Amino acid sequence: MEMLVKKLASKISLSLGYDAEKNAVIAYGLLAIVQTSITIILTFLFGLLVHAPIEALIVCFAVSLYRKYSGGAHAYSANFCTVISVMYCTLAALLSRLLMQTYSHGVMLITIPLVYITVFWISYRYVPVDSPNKPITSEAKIRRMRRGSYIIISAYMALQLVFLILDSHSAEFQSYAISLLFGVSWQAFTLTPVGGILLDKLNSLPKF
Amino acid sequence: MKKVYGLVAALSTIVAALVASSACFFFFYQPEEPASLRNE
Repeated sequence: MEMLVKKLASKISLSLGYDAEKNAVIAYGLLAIVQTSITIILTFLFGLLVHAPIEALIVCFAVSLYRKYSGGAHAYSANFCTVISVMYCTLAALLSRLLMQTYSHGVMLITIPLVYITVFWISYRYVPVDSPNKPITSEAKIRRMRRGSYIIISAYMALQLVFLILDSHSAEFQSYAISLLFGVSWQAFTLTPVGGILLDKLNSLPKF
Repeated sequence: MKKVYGLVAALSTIVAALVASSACFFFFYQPEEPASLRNE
């Protein structure tokens, strides 16, 4: 994916007479567009395969929005990132559908506060988790990232409450509520040192 | 073709600038950020 994007960016820059820095910016933006689009489309298609496309997209957007402000452990390539993202979203969507069979409003009333208290604590403790390719060192940016994370988690909590209120009207909302929990808890997990170790282990698998 | 390239270049630059303000790309991958977008 990256090779193709770099080739296309070089072609564009050559045609428009851009310098190396402008070429790097175009390649960066283009990779964001291509990778985001492919991940969303594949997540939707694999979600359709397990009869849970909305749940798969809920997990996908819950992770990615929170991740924009929190950062987290990283994969070694865009392709590998897409593979593990689609796999996790599909698996979480399928599990949400399966857990719907044993859904209990009472259990959710206990689980939701426990999950969000833990997520808030992890955010307070670790956000932002930067990467060598994009270090975050300025105090102002760290504060902005933390504030953004808290806002996103609060928005998820509000959405979780909406799902909780609507779960008695339609069983679909039970599954949506579970998938949102899977999304937010997975992203919080990737912020922790244990999550970092897991991603490192996955990164050491044979490359493709 | 130059017009299409110009359009793609403009769109990519806007997206690059939007992504630059976040802590992470989209999911689990973060390519090296161009120097002109860096705001550590």
